[in-house]
Amino acid sequence: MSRGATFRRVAAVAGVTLREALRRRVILAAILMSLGFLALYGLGLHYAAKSMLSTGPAGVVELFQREAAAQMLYIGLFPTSFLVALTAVFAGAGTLSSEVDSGVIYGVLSRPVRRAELVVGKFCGLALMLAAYAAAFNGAVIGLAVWQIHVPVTHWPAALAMLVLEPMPLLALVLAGSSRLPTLANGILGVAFYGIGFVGGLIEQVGTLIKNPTLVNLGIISSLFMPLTALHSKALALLLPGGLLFQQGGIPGMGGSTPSAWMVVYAVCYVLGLVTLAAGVFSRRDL
Amino acid sequence: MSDTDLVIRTDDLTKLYGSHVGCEQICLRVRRGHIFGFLGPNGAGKSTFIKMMVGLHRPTSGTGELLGKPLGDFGARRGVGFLPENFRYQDWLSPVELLRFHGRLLDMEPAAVADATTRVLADVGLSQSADEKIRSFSKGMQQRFGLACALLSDPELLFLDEPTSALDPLGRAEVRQLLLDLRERGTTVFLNSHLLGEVEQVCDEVAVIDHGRMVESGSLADLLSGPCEVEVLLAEPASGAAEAAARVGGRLLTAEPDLLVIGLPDEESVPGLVEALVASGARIRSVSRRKRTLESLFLEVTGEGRHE
Repeated sequence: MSRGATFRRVAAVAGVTLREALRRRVILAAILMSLGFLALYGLGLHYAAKSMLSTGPAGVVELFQREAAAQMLYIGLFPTSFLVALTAVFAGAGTLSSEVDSGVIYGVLSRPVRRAELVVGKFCGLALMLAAYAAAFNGAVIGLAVWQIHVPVTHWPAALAMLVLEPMPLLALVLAGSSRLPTLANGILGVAFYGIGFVGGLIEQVGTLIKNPTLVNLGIISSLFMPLTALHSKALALLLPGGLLFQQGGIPGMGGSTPSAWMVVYAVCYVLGLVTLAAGVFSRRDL
Repeated sequence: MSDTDLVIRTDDLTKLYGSHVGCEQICLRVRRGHIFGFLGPNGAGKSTFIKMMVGLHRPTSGTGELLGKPLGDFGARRGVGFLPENFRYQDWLSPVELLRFHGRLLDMEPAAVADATTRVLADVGLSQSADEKIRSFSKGMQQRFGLACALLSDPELLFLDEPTSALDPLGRAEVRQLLLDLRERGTTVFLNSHLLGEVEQVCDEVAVIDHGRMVESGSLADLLSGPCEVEVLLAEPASGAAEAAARVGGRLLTAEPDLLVIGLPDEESVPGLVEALVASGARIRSVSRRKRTLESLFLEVTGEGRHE
């Protein structure tokens, strides 16, 4: 069997998975909620822009305006992270288990298709959908902030790449869970791991504020279990490298220090490792 | 029977789920170009066996070959079609879209997929519904579509797990004819069905499985021919029937006032039996050979008849 044939089978599975994901109500609900949030956020930015035209010593006003604008962008990117993460859990939790339960998988796997190819195809299809959603949603928030309150963002393509990568660890986790667990249990597992990453970021932030290395280490360890929050922090650090509030850990769950490039490498390995695990577990399972 | 004639060969194939037996020591030979009936009561292990054949379950022990390749071989599945018992497909797609997807999984050229799609949908009578969503199909139409999907690659070996369970009598007759046509084209069909009358009409060979073990197998003709038993309808009770039967090497099995059932060594003994009965004073209305049905064989070998 040639690599080309493997690629074509993975692409076929990815294509059907993507189409199936796009027609599900959870995605429609996520898009509607995102549009609702963007409308509210745009309105908020519009009025914030008016109130930010204050008077005073030139340097102080400029500093205040920059920090207020950064704060507004942080606020905007927090719900996007939450919504994209939840979409990853709901879209991915039943991707294998529901097809095993319904019997759809029998028709596919009696074909000359390796189970690993099916798992990778499923991941690629869902990852593509999430990547487009994350890019559009986060891009819209950043665009609105730049347009309305002139946030001085830097490295936005790299930051957007981090935000696109952000839900992938969670997707890979629920995909691995789906290879063995029932859909509901797997969904709960996904939300729990998101919680671990979120609370871990909070602990790390508090640890940084009170200069407690134990808490900081606990936060870092939680990031190893779920590196989603670390990727979000990395994206913010790229967007606003000099953000004062960021350095103090101004937003819950955003981490207290800038994650290194190694954390990004770790997140990519985390995704690859879990997809490999999913393929291995699913390949050995009786269906 | 040479190995090249065989499309399925299993030796002591066993599947255990902990202490529960799925299939145990199944030794089976299925010849190319035949329709093979695989029978058994509910929970006997038929679907487990098929799932091992198509790579959905891994055997616990034993060996097997499919199309000359070891079980689980990835390439062998190229020559196999499968209609599962609980058939379900991505019902939000149309038949054309879903067959295109399966064609891509089979690595078929787009033009070949288009040709095959036209052919298989015509074979199962769904040409008019090619672009409707599968979701809108009745259960019978979905089963027909499942059959079309299994036939897409023009497989050498077709596994059908209860392929007519959702069809009306007309649909069943059409599928029976389709199976006979497939046999004409050289396709081997492995048919798992509860409909014994249907199996009897189309199958060349059968195997019966019960509690995970194979309890009977062979050509349908041999299995149904069985021992030679004749029914003798009498005008009035006869007294010397047992002696008359013994005179031709037979045995009186049932004696009722107007009916005798006599087991004979072979069919050649029937004229002698009639002469002996007449000589003993019996007044015979008719003599007929008892026909063994697949149902009676099934009930006999699975022990189901004992409960009745």
